Amino acid sequence: MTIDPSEAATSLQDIATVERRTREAVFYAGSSTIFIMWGVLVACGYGLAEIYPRSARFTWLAVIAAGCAATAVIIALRARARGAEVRDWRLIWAMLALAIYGAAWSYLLGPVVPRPMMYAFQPSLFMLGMILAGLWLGRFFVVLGLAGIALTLIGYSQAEPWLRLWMAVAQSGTLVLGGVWLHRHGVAR
Amino acid sequence: MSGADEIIHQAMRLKIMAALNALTAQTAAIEFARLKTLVGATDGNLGAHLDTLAKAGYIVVEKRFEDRKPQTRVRMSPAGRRAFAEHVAYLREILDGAGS
Repeated sequence: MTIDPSEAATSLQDIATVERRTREAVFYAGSSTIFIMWGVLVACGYGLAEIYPRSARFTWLAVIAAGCAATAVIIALRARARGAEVRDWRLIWAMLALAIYGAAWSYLLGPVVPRPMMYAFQPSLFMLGMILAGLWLGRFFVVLGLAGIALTLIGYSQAEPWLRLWMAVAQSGTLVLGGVWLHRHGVAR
Repeated sequence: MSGADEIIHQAMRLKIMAALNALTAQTAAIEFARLKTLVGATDGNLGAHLDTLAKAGYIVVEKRFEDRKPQTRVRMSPAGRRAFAEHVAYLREILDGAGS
């Protein structure tokens, strides 16, 4: 059996395409739990902020801290179960930096910036992080992030006096539905 | 230079092996339906190619019941992983040879 260079190049290209698609699908399945968890946490955050408005800033700081810690634990446990090391923590550190950046500015600007703007700021920053991560991890994250930002902007411009409820449903709904989609379309190992 | 692996080199089987190779853990398996989507095959087509690869000892096909539904899972054997690595190395050697 002889293979000419152009056929070899085509075969290697096919291999690269399928391997990339498979790794993407594996990552999708692995991310679904994290997405659903963040969706539930965000819904809890909005709920608690509604019940205890004076403690809203601390509530959100606690939600973000709990979410980041749980995300790191899920990733570490999964890597240990597979007998593999997490290859690259840089993306996780980047997301953590973005979350801390958003939380810090929310804490500082909260008392002086109009409420609707603050309600739109955190979700849109979160979704921006998802879009940026999607540039490396897969198109789905870019689409989900864009959809989340679009819903945030619609809520910001249209949803008063139901803005907080809108943001709660849009943000946690985007995350939970995204997580379900990832679970259905990913490759679990 | 080792030769081409005729079993692996067929276009669909090459994609199947590439998908299984991307599951890095030795024991990692993939569901039939997911594999079908990843490589763009039909049920019958995929089944036939899986049989060929299984007979060659390159993959292991496991059938089991999950929630009372039959489920077929496929994983690469160590021999399959070795053969795939050698075939990819051979393809790269052809390209390197053409470039020099």
